[in-house]
Amino acid sequence: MKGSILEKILLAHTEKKDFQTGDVIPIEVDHIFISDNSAVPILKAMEEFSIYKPKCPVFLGLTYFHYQQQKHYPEIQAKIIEDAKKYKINIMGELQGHWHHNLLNQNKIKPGEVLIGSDSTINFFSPLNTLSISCGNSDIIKTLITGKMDYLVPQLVNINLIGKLLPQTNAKDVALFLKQEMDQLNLKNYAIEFSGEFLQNVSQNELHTLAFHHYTLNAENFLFPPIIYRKNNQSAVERDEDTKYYKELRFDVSKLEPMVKLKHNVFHVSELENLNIHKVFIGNTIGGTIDDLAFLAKVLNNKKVSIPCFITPACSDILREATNKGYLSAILNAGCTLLTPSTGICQSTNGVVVLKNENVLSSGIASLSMSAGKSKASVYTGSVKTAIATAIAGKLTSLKEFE
Amino acid sequence: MSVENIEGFAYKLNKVISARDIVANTITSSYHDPTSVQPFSSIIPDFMEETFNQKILVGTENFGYGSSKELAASILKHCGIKIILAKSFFFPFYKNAFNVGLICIEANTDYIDSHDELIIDINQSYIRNKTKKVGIKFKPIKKYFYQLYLDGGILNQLRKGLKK
Repeated sequence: MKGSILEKILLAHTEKKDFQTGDVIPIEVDHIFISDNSAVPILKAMEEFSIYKPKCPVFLGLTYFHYQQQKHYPEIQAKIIEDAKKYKINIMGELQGHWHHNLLNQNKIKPGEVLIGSDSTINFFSPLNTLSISCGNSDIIKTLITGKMDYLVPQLVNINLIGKLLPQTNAKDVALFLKQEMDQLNLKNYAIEFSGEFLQNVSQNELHTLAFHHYTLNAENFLFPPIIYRKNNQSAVERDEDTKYYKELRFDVSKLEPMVKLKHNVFHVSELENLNIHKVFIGNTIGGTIDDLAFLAKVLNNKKVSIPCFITPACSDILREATNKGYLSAILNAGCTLLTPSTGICQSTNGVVVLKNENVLSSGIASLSMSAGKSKASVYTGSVKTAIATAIAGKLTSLKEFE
Repeated sequence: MSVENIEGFAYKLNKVISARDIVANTITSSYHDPTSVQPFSSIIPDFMEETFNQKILVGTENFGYGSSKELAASILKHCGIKIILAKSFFFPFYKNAFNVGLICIEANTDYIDSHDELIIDINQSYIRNKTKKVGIKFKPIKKYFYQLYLDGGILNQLRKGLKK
């Protein structure tokens, strides 16, 4: 991994000058993120260990949804806020949906930083040229006390993506395609460092969509070159040209077909064409950005959805912007139902019931969408493009039919 | 470092187990009180009764995949599971398990079925299946993780460090 982005970030955050794959090394952490569903044990530990001055900035994302069905919900949530203020934790996104998007707009994260979070979605920030690590509460607590986290250096795989996507596909299809490929290699404890022209050809929104899928690929971390910063001539962490990786893979995405995933299995949409779908969910984390809502408004212009289609903007700012730009009226006129910015289908707290044995298509992250599987529904996940094409057709299909 | 052998009866899960299979309901389950959560409630409603005498959990591939939440590991520890054997683990689950003091071992579990009596010798990296009369070698546990197990997890390590 010598010369890789991962190695450079690690070297800047550890006193160790020499480490190898499989070593456990203490690394300094720049930001800690906790969500309200993991806040209680962390805050209790802060009290036990008297952590009144955390070693690095701590952010708490409040969604208010995780505890709602608990008997003492108001007391629990009030205590979380009270304690967070006591321990100088930055509270984000109160009642405003997905806090990642709120934070993105605040420019608090810099290239080359190490972020840890008690949430599988922390990898959302990896396109910002960061090392983003999802971890459990114990790791968070230790980091609050020591400022350092014990990191097991993973095998580093380079994926070089070339080509330009077809109009009916997006980064979600790339993620599902890569899942198929990486499943065959059956790697454990590995990270992916992306490179290639594909990354230059897509929007930042697409990069975040890809980044959300690190667990879909069973990868510990994703690392991205500083594409966003290159555009502004900002300094960031670049890999050396002669970097050697554990594996180097190269894929041309230009002929990639739309894909969907059901549990562990990935299918081409063409294999399941016309499968009955009963409900479609788009957003919040993937599909609920302003780019996505603009795209939906364009596709839905003068069209109607023929099955229930639920749209969840990622956060209140995006909802406001989509309203001001007229995207929402196009979406609502097409018959879609708007849901409050929230964690949506993965927590089943948005008031929408998925019925027994229904086929559902979600643009969300596969692992989260499976929570809706409690109802014994079949939860397929696919791109925003496939999701909206399906909502219009009433059956599983890809966007090409509407071009 | 040393520990006595871990002995007991196996409870085999023949499907690939996700973290969300273990923590069935992410909303109503209490994140701050792992003892209040029943593992596998949606797929094995009688898990607690079925594992009453079988505290060695045996899985297949990629055990605990899909989430970095520590709750999945901690509720298994709190319900009395002594050790988890699987062909492979989802790494965040593996790390979380050791972080809460629950030991995980990567081994070929094809030769283990429910109710088999096992003796697991950590120092020799060897599983003796007394019921089937077979032995299974496994890759030694990294010293870092084994120490976490011996210390009872990160929080206990921190408490010990503060006392010193």
